[in-house]
Amino acid sequence: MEDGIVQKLIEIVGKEYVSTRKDVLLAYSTSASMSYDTVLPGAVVRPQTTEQVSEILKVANKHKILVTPRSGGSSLQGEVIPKEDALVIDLLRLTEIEIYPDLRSITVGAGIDFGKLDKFLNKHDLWLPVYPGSSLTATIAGNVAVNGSGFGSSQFGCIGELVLGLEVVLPNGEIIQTGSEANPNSPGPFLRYAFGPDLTGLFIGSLGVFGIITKVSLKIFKRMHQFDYNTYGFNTPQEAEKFVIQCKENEISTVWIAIYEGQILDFFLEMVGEEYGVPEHDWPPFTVSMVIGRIREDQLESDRVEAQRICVEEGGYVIGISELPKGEWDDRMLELARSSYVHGWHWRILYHHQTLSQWHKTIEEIWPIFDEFRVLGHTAGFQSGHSSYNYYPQIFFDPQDKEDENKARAAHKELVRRLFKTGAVPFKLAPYWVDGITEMEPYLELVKGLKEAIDPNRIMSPGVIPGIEGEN
Amino acid sequence: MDKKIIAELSKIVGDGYISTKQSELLAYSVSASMASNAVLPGAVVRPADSKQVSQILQVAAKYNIPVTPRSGGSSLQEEVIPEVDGLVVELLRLNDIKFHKELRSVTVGAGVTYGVLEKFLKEHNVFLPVYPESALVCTVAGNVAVNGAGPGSSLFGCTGELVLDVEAVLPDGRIITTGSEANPYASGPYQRYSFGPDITGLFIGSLGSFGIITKVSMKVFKRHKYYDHNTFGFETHEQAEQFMVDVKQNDINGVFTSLYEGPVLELFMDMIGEELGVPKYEWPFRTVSMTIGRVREDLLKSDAELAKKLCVKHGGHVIGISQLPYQEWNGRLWFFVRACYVHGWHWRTLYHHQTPTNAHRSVEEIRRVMDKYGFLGHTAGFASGHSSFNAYPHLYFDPQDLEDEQKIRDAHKELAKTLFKTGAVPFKMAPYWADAIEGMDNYMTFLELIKKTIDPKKLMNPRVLGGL
Repeated sequence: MEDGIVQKLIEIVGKEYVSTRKDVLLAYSTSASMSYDTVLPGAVVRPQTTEQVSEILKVANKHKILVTPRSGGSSLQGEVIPKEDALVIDLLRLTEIEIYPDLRSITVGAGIDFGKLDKFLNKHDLWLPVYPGSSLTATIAGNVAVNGSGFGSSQFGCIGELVLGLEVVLPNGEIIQTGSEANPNSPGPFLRYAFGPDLTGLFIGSLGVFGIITKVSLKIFKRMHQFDYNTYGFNTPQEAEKFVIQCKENEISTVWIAIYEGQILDFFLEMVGEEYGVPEHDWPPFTVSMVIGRIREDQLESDRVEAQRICVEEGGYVIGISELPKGEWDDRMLELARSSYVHGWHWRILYHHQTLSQWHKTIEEIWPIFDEFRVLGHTAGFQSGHSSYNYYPQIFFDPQDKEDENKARAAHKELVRRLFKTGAVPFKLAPYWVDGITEMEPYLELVKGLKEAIDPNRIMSPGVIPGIEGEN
Repeated sequence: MDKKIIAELSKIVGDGYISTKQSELLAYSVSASMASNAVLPGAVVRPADSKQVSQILQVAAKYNIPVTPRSGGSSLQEEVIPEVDGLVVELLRLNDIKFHKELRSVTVGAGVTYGVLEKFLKEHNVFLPVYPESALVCTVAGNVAVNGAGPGSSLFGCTGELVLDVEAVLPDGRIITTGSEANPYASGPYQRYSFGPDITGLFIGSLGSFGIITKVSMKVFKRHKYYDHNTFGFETHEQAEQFMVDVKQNDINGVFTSLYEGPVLELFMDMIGEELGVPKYEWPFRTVSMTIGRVREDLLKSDAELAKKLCVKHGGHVIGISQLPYQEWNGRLWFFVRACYVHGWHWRTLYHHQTPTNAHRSVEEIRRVMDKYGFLGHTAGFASGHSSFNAYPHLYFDPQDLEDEQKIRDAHKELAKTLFKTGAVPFKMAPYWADAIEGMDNYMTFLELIKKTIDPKKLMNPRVLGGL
């Protein structure tokens, strides 16, 4: 990167917080995303405040320098891989936390991760009840930008549903605040749907293409201490699906629901079963692992009885093994990340959402693809809101074996196409989704038009939503 | 309006569904909004489907005709008052309803009212649990466009939180579907946050300024079978407000939690108390009227007991009069409209949101403006989501007395300004809010950019969003 630019950045953040050293840049050339090519940026800058972010973007915009915002770096789909010689803005120094007990809300800087926030809220007997798989390193702002979900989403929806407002630095350096806090006299965040139209949504799942989220305000809740852990067995996927729908419909407060196909559960328990103390069991063709959470004990007891009634009514039986859901829930800040790495392979992931009633469709697509492309893999997931199911298929490969890795990439690409045809959707327009999408032209044109208007120099997060970037 | 344009529009919808007759246009020159000036449009057109809406907007774009979309016409803040010689696109013929049982959702055309939908959903034992005040004539799509709230919001939030997706016709005629249904292979609406960024939000509270919503898909829920209705009295506003926060925090399913100031409740009861069968009572400084709803009886009992305990904990007393919340909830499709009209006055309203612990600030500001301008009015409100409170002040006037009406218009304008300073926010940028806001320049510039991008000719409902 040009010296003049680097000097300008130093003027903004101080010498300590800009680097062009190769060993430092190497760390920013990659992320938790496996099977993505690394790219060396030209510089990394680490602002401390929103105003500094604004000054940095003014410089970048003026000189048309490509910018990739980054916080925890735990995203799995290439979201924070920079462009060559471009600028990475590392947001981890934006670490403010402000709590509003009467508003049942909190505002956090873009550098606050779920682990830190949970520790903080725990002291107040509160929580932000959605935990992504990589909670210990994922920041809340990053999770909003990728529109994630995780443990807790079965009851509280994806992270987008908990957002009350955002502070965003636009590509031209302007700072805007959305939601009720758009009113500078507001006592804090209390309503997202203020000053309609809802501009908050534009940045949820935006992957940084419209600007940099510097603060997020979110709903928080009284922490639950009453939990019931149980497993429920079914012979057909339809029975399991119906059971889950009925649990939702009958107001059972399910904070975690995973449906496991028999062979996947066996595979999963081989990895973590002993550690969680899950007893040996002849698992049925389909198992639902469920955690019910409540604030009050009598509510929990009512839910527990109701869930068992529904299970039997839908043709299933109560397995009664609690160690599996308890292990999953207690490990919610690290479980998914751990179980993804514990087997030692590398893998590509393909997050998507399916309807609950079509849970089986993803399974039906995945096994034939694995056979066709001769790759190993599996899929698991969890119930993620009003009526959706968040899947995270993993396709394994040996990183030393280029041919094997290419096979995984090809299988991944084909899987998107087939999943799209089943009606599955991604949380956000990650690059490989854009290839798999058909018949969505007017929608993509609208997003493209917005991108051109908000970021006319196309500096923000290049490459993460390739379909909307226009011609160079 | 030019005969050539009328001919082109007739070709799209058929002669029966377009009118330029003065007697008919008169009906479209006004809405339920009181104290606003009537404006005669040039034509009204009544399309049957999204495709026709698309063709109409293409004609409007070709000839630069301003467009005002309209459905129930029950909005109170001039949202559907047209432009002089402009085009009104009336959407009441878009009346499809599709229930997606396994997705726990429903898709309705822009012409479906809450009343019609409620009747339909009842047969399936589910409900769309937010009822705007004018539910019998108000359409769901219209309510999404104004981002409304109502009975049910105390638990389920404002209408925006229940939206799964919209089908919208953009100003250039392109038709888009947002959410999971953006995927043409999707079996129905099941996840709003798909294909991020969230485009659905742009149309929530948009007042039609980015295009015409032709369909909305909403979350639906199993109907509550068990209810508890009770009233709780408090001697300070802090006690009442903290009680409302604690009800939410402790997972009590208050589906409608209203907060009344003593004199306001007296005024209401004078008007309709006897008819509702509410016993005479010396209402305290603050009264919380709450309906709790649950699908299971044991959960309901647990909630009802805990609510009483929390009331006492916060220094209040359980009044035990159930008729008021019972009537509010059971009359949720019309209760408010009746209460607003039964006294015979005209009024302007000024919907806004406060935090629950700031509810008293709205009361103070309204009293101050009433004293200053010397008019009759009141305010009440209800918990409308995670931690917000929807206040709906009424400012009364005599429609025969132009001076009186002007006084109310002035007071209304001033009130919007002073409420803004208390930290209150509107659901949407209704015309008078644009004057009231201060210190939001970057926000408004950004909004203007979006407007310019989507509607470069500024044809869509030009009077809203402060006329960006």
